[in-house]
Amino acid sequence: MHQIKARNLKPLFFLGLRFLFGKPVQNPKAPVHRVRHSAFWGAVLGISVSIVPLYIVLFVSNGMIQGITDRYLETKTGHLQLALPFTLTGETREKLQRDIAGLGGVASASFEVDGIGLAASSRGSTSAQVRGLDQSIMADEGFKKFIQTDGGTIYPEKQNEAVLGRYLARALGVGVGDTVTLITLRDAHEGQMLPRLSIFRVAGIVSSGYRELDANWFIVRSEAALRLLNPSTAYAFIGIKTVDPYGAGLNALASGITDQLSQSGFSGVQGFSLRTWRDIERSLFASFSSTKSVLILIMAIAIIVAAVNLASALTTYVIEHRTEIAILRSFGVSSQQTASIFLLGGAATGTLGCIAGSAVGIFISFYINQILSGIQAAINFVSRLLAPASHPVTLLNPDYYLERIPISINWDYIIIVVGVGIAVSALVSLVPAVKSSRIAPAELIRHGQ
Amino acid sequence: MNEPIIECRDLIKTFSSGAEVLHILDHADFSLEKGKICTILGPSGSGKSTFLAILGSLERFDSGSVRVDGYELQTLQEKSLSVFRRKVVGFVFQFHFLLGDFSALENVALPGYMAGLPRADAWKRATQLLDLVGLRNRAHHYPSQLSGGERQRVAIARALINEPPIVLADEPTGNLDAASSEELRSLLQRLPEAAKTTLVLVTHDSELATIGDTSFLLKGGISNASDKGS
Repeated sequence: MHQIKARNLKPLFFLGLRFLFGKPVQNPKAPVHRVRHSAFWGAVLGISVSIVPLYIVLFVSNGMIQGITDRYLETKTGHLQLALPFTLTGETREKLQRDIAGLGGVASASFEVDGIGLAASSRGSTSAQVRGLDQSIMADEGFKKFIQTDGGTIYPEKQNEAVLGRYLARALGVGVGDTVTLITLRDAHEGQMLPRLSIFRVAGIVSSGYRELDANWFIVRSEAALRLLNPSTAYAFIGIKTVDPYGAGLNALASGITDQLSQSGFSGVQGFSLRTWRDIERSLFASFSSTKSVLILIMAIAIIVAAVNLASALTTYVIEHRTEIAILRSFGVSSQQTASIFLLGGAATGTLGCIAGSAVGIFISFYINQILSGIQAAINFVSRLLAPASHPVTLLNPDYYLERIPISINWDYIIIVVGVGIAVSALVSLVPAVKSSRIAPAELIRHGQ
Repeated sequence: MNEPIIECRDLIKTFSSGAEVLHILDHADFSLEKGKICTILGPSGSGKSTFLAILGSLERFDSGSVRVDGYELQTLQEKSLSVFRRKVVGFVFQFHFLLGDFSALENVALPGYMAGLPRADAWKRATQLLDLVGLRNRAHHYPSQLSGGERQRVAIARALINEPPIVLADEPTGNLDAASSEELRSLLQRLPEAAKTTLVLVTHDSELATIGDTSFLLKGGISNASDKGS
């Protein structure tokens, strides 16, 4: 008699896959078998279809969040912000700025003064975020990368020139070369404030590609801002760009800058404070993160529904094929092996579904911009045919979303999705697997009688 | 007399049907030598199939002892019973019980593959067994493409894949026509020598019953009906 080897998974896989998916069409006159197997191909399809939107949500939301975060960091907050007393002299400020820029890990440091004003033109008026930028911003590669111009320059060359955000310019109805009035507040005697009117020539119109950011930008030179803005309401800071804003080294760098402040004699001086970008826009990024989590949760429910469908198909199979399972038991397949066959079969079904769903999901995510453009073009084509006067449809309005979704494929997510998909499939297969293990070989005798 | 490969002592098996208790085997004794063909006869409902199922550990019994190839079945737990079925017995049922999604070759090879034989070895041995039962040319056909007699011959080949010392056949010609029955009878007759096994055969078929070296009649208990001697 031959030696019985230790338990081997290969035969279990062989049996499980053949049971569930059948042999490649050999017997076209066996419709019952085809129907049985189609239930499992249906389960594969269910799992793959449920995974596709998960990938799209993951990659699109990630891309959106990353794109928006990049724009916030590079065009507005910087990676670190060192708040300064408004009264700090230019000479001291410039020295501090140079010292920080010389630190290892710092890419650039630029002074900025922000405040609020009312922008007005002959066509209207609206509130504006006055950004007084230092000339050194033009050495900031990140800023230049994300700022695109609709016309003119991206930095005002003269004291009486301003660069407007795209949507502020639209709200005011002005273009390059036009004049706008900026109304700020100045201190009068005895604590009173009076409006200060300043006239600027529009030197350029710019956009970060994200409306939330450039809807209110009124960019002037920092010297002009220091002169126009009220010290009690304005905010002066050095915006610091680092080599790796997303890395763990950001906090260490912040400590280095704090040390630099101590060496420069500013330790404990009121008005100085250092914050990372995560602190500055904490609520915004928390909101992004929670929105993404909710979307993923909804998509995960779809996967669970698909997995339950797989469990249902497996359970039905076990119930309908007790005799075949009893045959296996009659020639010595143990109850544990029987359970393993269905557990592995379920996991294999999940694996097939996850692989197929991942391939489609990644493909769609990768080409999401082109696909959305195509769908949009098709919708507009049909609506023009049906109603020539209709307004064009925009699926992702660039006024509120990024004009182009930056997609980067994250392999960690893919591994997690596929791993979880297979694990959930195996988990839900436990019930039919246990059910199958309880089928006794004696059922064959009952069948024969 | 050689040491018996199967030995039952004081075997009791009952079935309950509501308040009624049906005594299928009542203090039955049975013994069979290695390498023999034993036929078990008896009227319908006398418990022939149940007795065979007990010998093959498909069915539990109420009391008594059953020793098959050294295994004391009354002491074995579920896991050990699987090992026993894998190593000691091969089954041939009245209905072929082949797996519809597997070819004849795969049906034969499967118990060997599941028992731990390497795939290539299992397939090779299955091919040899199909040769033995005269179906090598039908190896890649599916059960639905085989005749009743062919299916039973595949089932016999399957029963032999793990080289069991005992083959238990439960009315293997029960569903076959006369010609197929004759072919199968001839095959079963040469099985103990060709496969070096012991054959226990439950049958209604008087022709098939003649191949037995020894016959037992099951009617309440088991009695030795005839013994051709060895």
